[in-house]
Amino acid sequence: MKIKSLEELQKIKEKALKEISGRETKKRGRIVVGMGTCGISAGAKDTLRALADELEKQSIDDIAVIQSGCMGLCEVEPTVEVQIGSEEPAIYGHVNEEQARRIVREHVMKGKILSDILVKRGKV
Amino acid sequence: MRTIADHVLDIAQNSVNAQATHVKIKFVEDREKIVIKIRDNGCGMDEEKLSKIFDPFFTTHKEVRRVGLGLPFLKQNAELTGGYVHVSSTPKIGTILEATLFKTIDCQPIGDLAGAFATLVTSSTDVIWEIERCLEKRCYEFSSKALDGVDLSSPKVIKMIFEYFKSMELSL
Repeated sequence: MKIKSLEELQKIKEKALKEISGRETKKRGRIVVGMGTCGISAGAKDTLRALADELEKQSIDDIAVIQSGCMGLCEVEPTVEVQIGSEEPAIYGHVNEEQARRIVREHVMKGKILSDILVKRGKV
Repeated sequence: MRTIADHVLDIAQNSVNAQATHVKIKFVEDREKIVIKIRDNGCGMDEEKLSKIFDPFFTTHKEVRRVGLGLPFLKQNAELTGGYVHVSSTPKIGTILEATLFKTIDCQPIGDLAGAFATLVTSSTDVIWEIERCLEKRCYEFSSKALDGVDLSSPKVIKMIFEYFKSMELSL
């Protein structure tokens, strides 16, 4: 969908507000993208976009996508933290667009930890 | 930073970290130069802090992890083109950054400006973003007041905002 004016965006806002008011807004999990100077330099903006795009493509709207500052893992940026329910967070590193889509399809949808890009488990 | 859009994203986040609730970004481009102006109502800086902001690794955020390279990188890249970065600030009032980059062979590509704006707008519900973008005489304006009450952590909303800015950039 191409949005060409502020009026169109306003309509989308009204539609989104209606949708939200009509259902439970509690999220079942969250994905945090490190958006510090190091993350931005490594392409975290593209990671964020790919995550939102893949989640939307898979009709997943109960996962919050949040931005944070530097997670202190500058050498493995872009970094992404995934926490579903009460499980221990998984921190992934070098998350490019392709890996971001994998995280959605495998971790978020199937609960599978991607060990090849896993940096650590637990809070940073 | 590979692109000017990355600089805008990084520098504008300084405003969020300075507890700004209102950030105005003006990005004006013509054939010869790019002028970026970012004005916030954050905590501002005194003269001592202001004198150090271009020192590599200087940061006022010791309690959180901050690299302190954003402004030195922007200054270096602007000066490579013959341009400059000027910052003025008043404690408890806010900060104004103005950068001019000339479109010489040393000028970085502008990059994904739409993505930078979308990332900023979706980064915090506590900040009102006002964006003015001009290419020659064609301009568009955006205010995040239009998104008041919207869940900015929703993937659907994030995607829509990315698409909105992409469309606006294409319309220039």
